[in-house]
Amino acid sequence: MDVHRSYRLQASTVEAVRGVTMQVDSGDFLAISGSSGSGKSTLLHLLGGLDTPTRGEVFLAGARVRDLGDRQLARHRLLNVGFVFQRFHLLSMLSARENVELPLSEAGVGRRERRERAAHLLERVGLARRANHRPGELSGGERQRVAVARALANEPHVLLADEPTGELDRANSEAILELFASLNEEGLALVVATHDMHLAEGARRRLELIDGRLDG
Amino acid sequence: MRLRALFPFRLPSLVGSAAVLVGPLVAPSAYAADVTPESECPADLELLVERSFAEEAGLRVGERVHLGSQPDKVGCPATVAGIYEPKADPSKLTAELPRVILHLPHLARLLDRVGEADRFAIRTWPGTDEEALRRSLAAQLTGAQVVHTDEVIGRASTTFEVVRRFHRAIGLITLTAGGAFLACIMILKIQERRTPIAAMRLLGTSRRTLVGWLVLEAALVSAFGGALGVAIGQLASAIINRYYQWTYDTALVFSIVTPEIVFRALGLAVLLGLAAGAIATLRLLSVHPLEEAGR
Repeated sequence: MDVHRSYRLQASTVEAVRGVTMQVDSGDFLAISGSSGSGKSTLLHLLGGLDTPTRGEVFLAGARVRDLGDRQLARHRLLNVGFVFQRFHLLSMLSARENVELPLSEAGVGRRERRERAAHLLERVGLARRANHRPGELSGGERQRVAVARALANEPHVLLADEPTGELDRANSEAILELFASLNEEGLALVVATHDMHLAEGARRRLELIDGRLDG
Repeated sequence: MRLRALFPFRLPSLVGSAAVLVGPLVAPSAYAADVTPESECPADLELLVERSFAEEAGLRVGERVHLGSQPDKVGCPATVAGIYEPKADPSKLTAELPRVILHLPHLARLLDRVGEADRFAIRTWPGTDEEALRRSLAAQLTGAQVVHTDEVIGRASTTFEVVRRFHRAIGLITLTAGGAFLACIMILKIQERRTPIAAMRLLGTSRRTLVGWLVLEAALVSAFGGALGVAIGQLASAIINRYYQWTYDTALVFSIVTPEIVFRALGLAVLLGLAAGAIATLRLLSVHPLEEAGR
């Protein structure tokens, strides 16, 4: 609600997000588009509680982000929000399965259940046979699908994706869009910040950011 | 209490300029006009010869030699009763003079110093009140200095104590430098992974988990390094000992890796690892994960 976020860059202040008010409901599939530097990623980070607004309030799964301490916020994110990054950010020393198990382990899920859920999620994204491969042995599209599986590990309320197809070719981008659409059909809320018009067009709702303000 | 019958002497040091003539070193009989009369020689004169000297002089057990204190005289006939390996003693390491062991009365007679002794050692039975004995002897032996062996060892070991402290200082400096190096390595190693670590923070991994994980990893790396260092130290020690034992023909142990050293080295390595890991991790976690992962 009326969220602002500004940064100090040396002597000047950059207003990345200016007075944005929006809501993401369960089952939503929202695409935030805009030119580079328009504030898409910052807005996504604010929505996910990765960043705190300079002014205004963000509510995440019923909790006001400002009221949560560092540990509480980390736990809240872990259980309620799934993130997919443009550069995947998988741990290179872990296998695909172990990467997916990581948030489950952090959430205190037992070893056996972790294994089962990781296996199920990798199957869900079509990578059951690549479970024991490390990220370095996977293609870009496969890595991003592992990242999606990891984001879904704790059955979050919403999946936030920042330029998820930014490093992928057309075919892999299409596969990710199909995966998102399928997840959304299952009731998962998705918010995607993207330059990719094809991906944006696949969303149910589109918002455009221009200089940190919502347009339309 | 009993008087120690066998007493190691370095004869020249006892009798000043007198020489020890042993077996092959004795002058040929043609020149032996001046022979020590048998009446002046101790009966059944026998001696023990230090192994290295025996090898050098070609002496064997049972061999007959002449033993005397004057170079221009053929000494008393004696039998090599045995060959002994001297106790490893660093202070005798570079001593060049050979050593033999004689019965004290024989030695005194050979040197014509019966009833005299510069020094002698007393071995006591277990349970003897050594301090009371020392006081008693000091009171009875006017002008004599009665000292406990530990004190003698202490005096003789002063140089080695200084060397030991010097080595300890070098070790400490090395470990400190190693610790600083380790801290730098850990910082670099953790910095290398700042992006995935930032991603884990963004995904909800708590700082506590990350600190525990990274610090534990640093401690394990250090412990492994410490163990490797100890293994290298053991190997180097073995090589050094072999080399110097061969060079000086001694059983002296020059380098020892004791359990205490191992314990200290590993303990210090783990502590340094924990500190290095903590510094590197806290440094990393002080930056917002979005800065590390890229906004």
